[in-house]
Amino acid sequence: MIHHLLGEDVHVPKADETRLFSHGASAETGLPVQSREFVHTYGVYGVTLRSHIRLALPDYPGAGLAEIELQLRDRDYFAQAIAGVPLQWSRYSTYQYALLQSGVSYVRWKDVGEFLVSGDGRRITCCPARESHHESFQVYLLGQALSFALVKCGFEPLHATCIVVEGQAVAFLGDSGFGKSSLAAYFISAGDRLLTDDLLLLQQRPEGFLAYPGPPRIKLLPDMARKYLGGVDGGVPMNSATSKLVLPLDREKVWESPITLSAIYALSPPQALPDSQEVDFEPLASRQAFLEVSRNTFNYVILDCDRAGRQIKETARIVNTVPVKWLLHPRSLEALPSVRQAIIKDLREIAGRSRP
Amino acid sequence: MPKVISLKTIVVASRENVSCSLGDEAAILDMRSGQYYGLDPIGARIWKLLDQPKSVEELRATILEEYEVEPAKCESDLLLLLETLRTQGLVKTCDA
Repeated sequence: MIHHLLGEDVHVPKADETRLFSHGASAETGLPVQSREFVHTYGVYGVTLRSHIRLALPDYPGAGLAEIELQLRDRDYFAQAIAGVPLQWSRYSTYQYALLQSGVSYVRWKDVGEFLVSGDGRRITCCPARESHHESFQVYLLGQALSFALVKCGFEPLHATCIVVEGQAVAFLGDSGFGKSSLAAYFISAGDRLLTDDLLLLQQRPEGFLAYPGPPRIKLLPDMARKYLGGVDGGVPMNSATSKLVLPLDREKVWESPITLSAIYALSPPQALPDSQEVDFEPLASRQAFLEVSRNTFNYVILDCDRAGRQIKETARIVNTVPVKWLLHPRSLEALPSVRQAIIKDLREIAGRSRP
Repeated sequence: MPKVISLKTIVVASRENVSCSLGDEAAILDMRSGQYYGLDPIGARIWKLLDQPKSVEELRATILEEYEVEPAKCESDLLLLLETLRTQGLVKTCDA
C-alpha cells in the first residue's frame, strides 16, 4: 500500500536608465535607493512586468495574474546587500544564491548578472555583469530570476517547452539536453508556434489548465537553428559554458495568448532509447505522472513548507486534469517528422475523448 | 506511544506532512524529510480516514464495509500499513 516515490530529498543588460524622481529605502535591503519611473510595461507568462529596463518582449499586456516590478541597481548596491552573507551554490553549481533578511532572495550567475527578489516576489532588482550580452541577461532575468518572483507570488512554474500544434498546446518535459528545444524547433519549422521555451506557467480554469506565453525566443544549438529556423540571425551565446544560442523568433512563429494545455509529454534521456525505437506513447499512471511533473518543477531553491504544500497540491491538480505520457522516439533528426505526426494523431484522439 | 499497534490503538495522520489525491491513489510529502510516499487506492482510503483520530477497530470496520476482503487479511494488512506509516513518522498513535 505504501511506496517510496522519490529516493531523494525534494528540492526541491545594458539597460535604459530612466529619470530619477524620488528617494526612499529599498524593500529588499533597507539600503537607501533612488526610485525611478517605470517606463516599460510588458506581459509574459500572464504576468505584467513594469520595468526600468527595455526588454525584447512584445508590448502586449499581461493577463493580469500578477504585477512584478523590474529595476536596475549598480554593483555597489548588490555588494552592500550581500555583505557578510555566505552564498550557497545551486545543485549543479550553475549559480550562487542566498536568503537575505525579510525573505529577500539573492541570486548570481557569473558572467550574466545578479538579482535580488523581494520577499513577496513583487520586485526584482538586477545588475548585469559587465561582460553579459543583453539577450543573454534577459534569458536569465525572464527565466531563473523571474521564477523566484513567480514562486513567491504563489505560482508553480514548470521546466517545460510548449508548442501549439494545430491549435492544441503540448508541453515537453525533460532535463536540459533531453531535446525539448530541438523538438520545438522542428515543430516551428513545420508551421507550429512556440508558446514558451523553458518556463511554463499554468493556471487552472474550468476548461482545464491554461498555459501562458513566454518570451518570443528559443535556446538552440547553432546547427539546429540553421536547419530548422533558417539561420542564426540575431542569435547570441547563452553563456560561456554552452554553444547554445538565444534566438529571437518572429511573431508568426510564436503563440501570443493563453491556451488550454492538451497534453504533457515527458522525454527520456537520449541514451535511454535504442536507435530502432519506434515513435510511441506510454501513458503514465497517476503516481508516475506526479513524479515526472514534480521533477520538472521550476526552481529548486525555495524550499519552505508553504511552497512544498502548494507544490504537491498543484502537481496533483495538473496530473488529475492533463494527460501525461512518455514520448518514446528515436533521437535522429530524420525521425522528427514522424514524431510530429504521431503527436498530432495523439492530440486528435485526446480531443475526441474529451468531447461530450 | 504504544509499542505494538493493536485494534484499540488510536491513529491519526501527523501534522508534519501534506498529501493529495492522485485519481484514486494518494501522494504524501513528509515535510521534515522531504520524502514523498505513494499510497494505492485502499491505502489512500485509509489515509483519508486518518485525517481524524480513529481506532484501528474503526478503520477495520470501515474497510470491511467498503471492500470485499477476509476480516483476518484486512486486519493484518491494516496493521502492517499502520506500522509502516508510523515507522516513517506519517502517523501518530496512542492507546485508547
